[in-house]
Amino acid sequence: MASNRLDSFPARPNKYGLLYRIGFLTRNALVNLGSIIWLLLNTAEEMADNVRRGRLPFRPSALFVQTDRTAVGSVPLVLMVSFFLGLTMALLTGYQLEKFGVERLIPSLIAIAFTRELGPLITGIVLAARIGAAFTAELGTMQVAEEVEAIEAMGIGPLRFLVAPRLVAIVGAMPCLSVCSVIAALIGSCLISWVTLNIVPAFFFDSVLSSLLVNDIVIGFFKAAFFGLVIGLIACFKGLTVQGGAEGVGRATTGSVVIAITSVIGFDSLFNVIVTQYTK
Amino acid sequence: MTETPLVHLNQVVLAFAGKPVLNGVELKIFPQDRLVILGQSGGGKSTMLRLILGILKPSGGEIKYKHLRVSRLSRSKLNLLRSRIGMVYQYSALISSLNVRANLALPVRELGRKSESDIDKLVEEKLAMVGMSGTEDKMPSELSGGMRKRVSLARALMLDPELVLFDEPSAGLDPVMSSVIDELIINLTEKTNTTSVIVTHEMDSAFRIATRMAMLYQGSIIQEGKPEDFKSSDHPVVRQFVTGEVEGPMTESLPDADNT
Repeated sequence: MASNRLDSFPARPNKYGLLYRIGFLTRNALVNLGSIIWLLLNTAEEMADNVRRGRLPFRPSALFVQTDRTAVGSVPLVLMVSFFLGLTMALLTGYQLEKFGVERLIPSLIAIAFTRELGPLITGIVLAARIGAAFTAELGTMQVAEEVEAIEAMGIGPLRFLVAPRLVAIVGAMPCLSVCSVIAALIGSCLISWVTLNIVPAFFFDSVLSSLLVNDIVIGFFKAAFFGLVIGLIACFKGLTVQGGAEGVGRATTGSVVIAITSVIGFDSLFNVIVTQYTK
Repeated sequence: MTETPLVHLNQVVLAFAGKPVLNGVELKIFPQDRLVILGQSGGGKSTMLRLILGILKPSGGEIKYKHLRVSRLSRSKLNLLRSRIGMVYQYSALISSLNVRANLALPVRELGRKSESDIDKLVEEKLAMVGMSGTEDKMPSELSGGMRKRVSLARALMLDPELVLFDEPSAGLDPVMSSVIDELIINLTEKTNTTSVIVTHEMDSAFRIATRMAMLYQGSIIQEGKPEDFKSSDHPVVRQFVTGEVEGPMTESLPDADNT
């Protein structure tokens, strides 16, 4: 028996083994990460090519169209979600803090939490679901119908033409929407604090202003822009690599939303760990 | 022929995931040829067009466009080369979210420096060439297969290309529309002095269009020459393909041919 085992060395990997699956998933994740970085670099290179030829990297009208749907179109949803979340958060923390008589801390708590953390996070989740899915489905359908290849065959860089305006739009939209999210959350929490805890709006906004640091706003701003880049890249990558017709587009769209939301939350946690380590 | 070829596929080898598709293809395309490439479905004919455009890179051999080696060009030079080649796809590949006007204007807007009024004139001119005037504001989904193909041809001609590649131009069309497209290809290439490469497996179409023909079989070109040579070919594979007979070397090489 021992000689038999030696004969078949190296052993065939067991496709159902835990180790094999971990290795397989890790390898896949690294390949995808590499491809996404490749996508970013090549999009930048295609844009630079056009600039070198004395042209704009992409037509402004394409950017306006994408910005309109990404930013303007997402305002109502971001406002609504953030308003209710701010309201709920003030209500829940209010009941706890009231026991210790420190409910006056609610404004600063909401302000800091939303500016640094929840504003970019909620906006990221909303945009990943609303815009990331749309980007993937559009590009995926174009890919399946050979439209992307036709654009490439005409000598128009498809990354510059299709990916760049979408990426720039979502990176620009995220910080702006994040600001909207913070304002909506503050209004929601201010209203509920006024009604349930008798904190008057004037005091509420005074506390907000005195507790916020420029640092919080800057961190929130850059975080939002970075999340925008992550969502945009994942969505475009998943769209451009669709395989397998209509079903493939569906699978890629689901994948895009799941991966984008997970990545946003993952990066947020990672970012928090690093920032807290260095600002102790 | 002593003329320098416009495109030269020099011993081109291509394999997908270890499976060979092209196995040393040697083919020259001369200026003002209307070269029809014949071959079985899935035999690598369309792949050859993608290799000429530099969308796929060969695993071996090289493709030359005039003196340029296509697979070694930088991205910007490759894009410049592609703008001199027009491609008409099997399923037209018009951008479904843009109307006919915007589809045609796309290459000129993105690559040229023409004013919007000049672009509009050019769009009208090219649409008239393919007999599609008045459809500027229609969306691709409102057009029939034949109309879409004609619009796609007009789009391929927008930048006045030297070479136009056609991937199955008559696939999925009725015989009349198929003849109309064939006539268009002949007229337009003659009028504009362009070279064209047409990939097809429809023999009627092929004999109508071709000034030269090449037959791709099992990854290499087994015969190349004038259409008359193909009609009287001694090569058993070519003869079977031209006549469309069931019995012959092509069906014998299929797995389980007897059972199908």
